[in-house]
Amino acid sequence: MTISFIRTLLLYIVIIAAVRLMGKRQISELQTSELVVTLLISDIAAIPMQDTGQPLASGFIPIAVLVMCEILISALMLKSTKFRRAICGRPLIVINDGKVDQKEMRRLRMSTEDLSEQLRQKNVFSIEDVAYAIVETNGKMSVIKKPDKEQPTAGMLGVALPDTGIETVVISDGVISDFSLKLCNKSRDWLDGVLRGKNTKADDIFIMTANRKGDFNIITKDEKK
Amino acid sequence: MKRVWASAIIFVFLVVICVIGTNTTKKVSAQMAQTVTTAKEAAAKGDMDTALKFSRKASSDWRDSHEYLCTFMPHNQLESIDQTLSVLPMLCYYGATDQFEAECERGITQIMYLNESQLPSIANIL
Repeated sequence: MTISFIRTLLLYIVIIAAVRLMGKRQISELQTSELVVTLLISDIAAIPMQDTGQPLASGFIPIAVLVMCEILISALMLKSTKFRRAICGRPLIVINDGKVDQKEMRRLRMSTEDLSEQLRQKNVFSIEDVAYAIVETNGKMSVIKKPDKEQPTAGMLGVALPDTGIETVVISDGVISDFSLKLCNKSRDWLDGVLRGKNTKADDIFIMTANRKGDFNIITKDEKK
Repeated sequence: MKRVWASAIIFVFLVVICVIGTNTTKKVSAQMAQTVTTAKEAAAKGDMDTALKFSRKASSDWRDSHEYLCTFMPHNQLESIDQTLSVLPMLCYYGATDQFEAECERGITQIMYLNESQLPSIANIL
């Protein structure tokens, strides 16, 4: 039992390190090779985790090989477009200039329901509104609406909006984040001034957000019962 | 670029580990097979004292190697050799020569199989 516990801990650490080494892309958008590696790693790690008769090396070595291959392949994909196309394929246009490309849909084995579903997920509820729909190499769909169906932007309407910059959490559960303060171009002195003005202190704040313009929002902690 | 270097380091590390593993298995199995063969030959000549000495040496050497081998080899393969080698000194001590020789032969085969199973040959890979 203890051996299984320690082995699982060790494998967990190795898997976390492996996924970190492969990069953030691994977690969010899986390309073909990344999906294969993720499935294989989870499968390989399970064997020595359950079977204490197998040495841990029989899990570590294949994981290390997969990580190595994944990094090499992603580096090669950056260097060569042809290689990238061979591994990941290419984006396919299923709606081109407002016209549904049935040949491409058949190639993708995509049904009309799949198309409608993916469009709805992009907040498009009529195929007529779509100028272009592209199935990306990671399987997600990108949609460009027809110009007359696009929502007007402030730029189109000629309205000048103030640039408030990024809003960041400068205090989280009583802890001040210098990194967030720096992101919104504010200093500790500014924060101290705001807290003094509100007659409170950082320890009493649950969340405080701020932006570059100097707008802020404070939510204080609930009183403990 | 840092990740590519990390992958290169992993590659070198893996190659080193694999080479060390294969060489260690070769060395240990050759040494063990030699000791067991000597014990068997001594028993065949009727020299039971030498046979006992070498069978004890085989058991003790195997115990030392086992700790190292089990870090990269399936434990069930090693356990079967454990069981074979552990009975050799007792068989020799009580004069069961025929059974001792048979067990020695079994031990040698198991050790050679252990070595062969770790070699990166086409048969093992496929």
